[in-house]
Amino acid sequence: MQMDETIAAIATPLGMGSLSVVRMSGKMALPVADQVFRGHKGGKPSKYRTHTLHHGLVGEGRDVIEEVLLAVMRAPHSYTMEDVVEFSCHGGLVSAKRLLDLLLSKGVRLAHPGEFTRRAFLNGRIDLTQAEAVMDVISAQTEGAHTAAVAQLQGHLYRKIEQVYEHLTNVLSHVEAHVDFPDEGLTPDTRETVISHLRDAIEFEQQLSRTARDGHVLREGVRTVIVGKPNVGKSSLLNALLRHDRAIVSPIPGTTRDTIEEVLNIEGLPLRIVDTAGFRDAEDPVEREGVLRTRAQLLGAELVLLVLDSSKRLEKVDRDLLALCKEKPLIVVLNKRDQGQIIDSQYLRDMTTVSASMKNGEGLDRLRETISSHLWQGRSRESFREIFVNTRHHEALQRSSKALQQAMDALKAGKSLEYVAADLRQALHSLGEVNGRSVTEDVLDRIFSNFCVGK
Amino acid sequence: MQAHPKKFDIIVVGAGHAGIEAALVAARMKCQALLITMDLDTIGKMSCNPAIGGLAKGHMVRELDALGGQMGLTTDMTGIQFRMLNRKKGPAVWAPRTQCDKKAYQFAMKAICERQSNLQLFQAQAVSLVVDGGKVVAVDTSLQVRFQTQTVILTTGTFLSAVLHVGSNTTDGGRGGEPSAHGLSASLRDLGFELRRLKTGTPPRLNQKTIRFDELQPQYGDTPPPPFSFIHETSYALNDAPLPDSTLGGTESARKLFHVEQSAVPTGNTWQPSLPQLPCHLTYTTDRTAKVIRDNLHRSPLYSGQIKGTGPRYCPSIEDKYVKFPDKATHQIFLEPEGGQTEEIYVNGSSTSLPFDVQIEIIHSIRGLEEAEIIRPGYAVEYDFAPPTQLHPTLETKPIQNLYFAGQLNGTTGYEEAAAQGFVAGLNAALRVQEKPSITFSRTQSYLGVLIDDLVTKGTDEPYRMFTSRAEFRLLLRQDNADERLTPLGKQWGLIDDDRFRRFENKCRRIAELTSFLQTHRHQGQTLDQWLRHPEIQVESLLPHILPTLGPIPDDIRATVEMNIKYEAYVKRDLLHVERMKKLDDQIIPAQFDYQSLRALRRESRDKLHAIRPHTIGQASRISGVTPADVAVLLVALKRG
Repeated sequence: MQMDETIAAIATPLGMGSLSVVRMSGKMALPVADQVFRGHKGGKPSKYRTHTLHHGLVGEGRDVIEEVLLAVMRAPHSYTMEDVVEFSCHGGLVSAKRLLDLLLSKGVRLAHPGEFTRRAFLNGRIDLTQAEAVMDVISAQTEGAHTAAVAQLQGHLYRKIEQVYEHLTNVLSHVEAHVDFPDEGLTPDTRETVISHLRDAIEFEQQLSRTARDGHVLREGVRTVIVGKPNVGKSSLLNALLRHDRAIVSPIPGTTRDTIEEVLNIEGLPLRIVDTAGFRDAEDPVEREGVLRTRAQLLGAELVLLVLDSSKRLEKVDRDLLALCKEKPLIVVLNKRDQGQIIDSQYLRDMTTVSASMKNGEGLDRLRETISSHLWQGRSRESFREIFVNTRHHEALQRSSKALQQAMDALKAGKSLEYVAADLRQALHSLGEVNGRSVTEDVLDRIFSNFCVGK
Repeated sequence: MQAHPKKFDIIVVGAGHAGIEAALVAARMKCQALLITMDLDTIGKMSCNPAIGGLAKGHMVRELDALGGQMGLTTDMTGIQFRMLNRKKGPAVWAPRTQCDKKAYQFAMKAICERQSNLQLFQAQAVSLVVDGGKVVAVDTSLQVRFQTQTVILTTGTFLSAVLHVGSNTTDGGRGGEPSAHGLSASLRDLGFELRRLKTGTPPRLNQKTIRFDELQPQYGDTPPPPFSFIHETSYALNDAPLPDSTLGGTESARKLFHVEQSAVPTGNTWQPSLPQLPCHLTYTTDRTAKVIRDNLHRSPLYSGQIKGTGPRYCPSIEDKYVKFPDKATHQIFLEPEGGQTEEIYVNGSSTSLPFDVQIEIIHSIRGLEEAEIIRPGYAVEYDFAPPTQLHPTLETKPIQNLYFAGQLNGTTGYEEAAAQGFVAGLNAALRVQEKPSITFSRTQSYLGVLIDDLVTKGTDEPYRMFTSRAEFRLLLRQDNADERLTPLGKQWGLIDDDRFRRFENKCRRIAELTSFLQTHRHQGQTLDQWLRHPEIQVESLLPHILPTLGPIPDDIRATVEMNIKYEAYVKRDLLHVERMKKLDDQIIPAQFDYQSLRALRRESRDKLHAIRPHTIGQASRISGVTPADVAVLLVALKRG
């Protein structure tokens, strides 16, 4: 519908271990690409000729997400007949997702299902005789999306969203009653009450958002990074873990990279493991790049496995690594326990550690248990089964929470209630995109049932 | 049937609030107009409460005034208490409301219509419409006279096949003491219109000499009284001679009509009401009221099944209030004077259709009314309305060309809603006569637009009343900027004269001047407009910086500028959404578009779109049940042409 907006989405299926393409289409596609892409040969995407490929890095400022191949297709010679930029990411879904988030933060909107195709039709990319036939497909897609949505509507998430929507409709009806019926002796909630209701709602939405992250984990895996100095046993650890799961492993060849990514299954949760180049002392200029890369990998890590040599005392490199990882969910693997345990265990006192030997397989089961309990921490398997959260729901919840926060700020700043109402409406509209409700009518209904309005 | 010798451009049937605006705008646009009413003495009669305005309604009256409509001017002329509601909140939701002298209002309207050039009045009952080739061509009246015309505007209010209920007593009637209109309903059905039933009610009226006012809390108007019409605002009088007497002619007439003794001609720049100002009084129902109602509920035609029409939820009868809110012990009752020349008091909040003996008991149970005499009983009225999805957004009917509907016939309630529609119907009929393009008011531009778009897109199941919460862009559609939004349009149609337009431009210039002054002058390192963004800072607190350069700033200009600056972020966000909505509303769907053959549409959407026939993609997207996917399908189909 809103053809003036620039949209983006991961255009490849969310399978495991394939190359991911992030597609962006619309007027802002090239300017936004300029902001996030640094070509190895220089230049800006907005200056590139149409239908050319460029190798470079994506990221923001010093935070590099990864290397990509960028393709520029200028309007009208593209799939949507708008300016299109496609990023091919080798780093799997996790980096594609991070790239997508970065684009969304630049004012690009997440594309609705089938929206690229829809734009292609709307812009006349497909000729008149084809249009009818393709429309059937589109409507089938919508039908399918509808069925999926209905399934979701009966589920856990929908009930939760309904719950917060109802709650907020109620809050808004109080605010609106103040605004629209000043003269009728009504006693709607006070500012303080409204603030406390809003606080509850934000908390509720954030809890839901967190389950959205869990859903993301379920579908796309926990990004796990193995770090450690060279020869400490990182690759052996990876191989040892993989040996258990040979059947489901699908290695992605690291064509232009020296990290490799593997997926393994720990008690039903996918782990997406990145093995980094060995981390050496950063004094050596040749190694500095490796350090930078490790740093970059750690930025996106949802779990870090730090491998230390249990048979030696801690070195400066180890302590540097520990410092780098201290903000992350961390499990320290003390390898080479068969060669003795002289490591300074006092230093590691407050950390989750597992003693193991990759050589003879000792401690591996405990490591798997530790990883598992770490991942399932505070989550019940039941709750997972009911979650169907996708990025769009997550985005809607975040927008809603942001508007609620504004409403709270406006209330606290003593702003007049019609502004609070404007923010609340915004919040409800965001939720309405998920549950398909019409805010104006719902609020009026609520006012009439809550208050005896009318002289 | 004999034909009237004159052929008219526009015939308006019904002279209530919708009919008056329709007839006046048509005549002022130089069309030959005829206003037919069943009783010339009830032109502009306020059938229910004696007030104009309030939240959202007041906004619409300001919009009408900005366009050159009549309601605001007559309200100023005949008001006996002027208030600006919601002053504790921001100016976006301030709303003017005025208690009017009912009879003064009514006779002022009659006099204005009588004196309007190009407008002829005629007392008769219209009984049927004559249609030729899908176009309306004449109106037949009960006296066997046929009036030929190019266009017809029906504003029949609550009169079509109407029934009055007081308890189990039912009588034929469109308003207390007045007969209903027969014939037209059948004529409309014959022409293919669907008609349904609605219900509304009105409270008993009391004689004020029997009320104990000393026990009650009086409510006075604001000082200074806020006028409805822009031409009565301080900013319109600035840097100019006092307003010429011609624009105040109405006020002068009102004074003469009602023998007002005090000198009320405005002196200098400050407008003053011309009628003596009167208070209202506030009282409450009691435990006894609750008991009386509970004991007699079975005798209410609302609950016995006698009344089938749907009533308005926001204007419930007193028995409804007790049934739906059993925990609320007391309800507010406002005692409102019906005018300065009568003892009649309107008991606002006690609308009822309970039997008369119960009405007496209810009234006597209210504090201060223990011995009050009812001089007119409350009643409910049930009437035919034409579901408004049968209309184009110009208010022309879909089945019959050159025929327009406005007011309660379209399922609305309220004088202001009626007047707004009457104006839009009259304007579009005049444009049709002049063979000019019709006008659709947009939701992004006015409450008029919200009102009509809601009606023709969504229809209504209960009497429709405007609320500010119905407007997506409430922060833009303010009562203070109605002239900025609409006066240039009124000028374009010749409804705003040069003098008034000059005053309007003058106001705009002053707003721009103050805004740019605030942006360019600093205090302690911050520009004055940055200071204004602090909630506790008002233009008033900055006056020491402003006065030396700009001189005194009128209140209305202060409020507008302050509002624009203080809430810029909200306004900007709204403007973005406005742009988005405009784009969708700019995409026209051809009138004959074939929805039924579009198999990609879901069946429900197909049927709804076929029935409502939206004019634009934007309107289609607002039909309940039409999904974004349906809209996409429509867009594709439109591209294909």
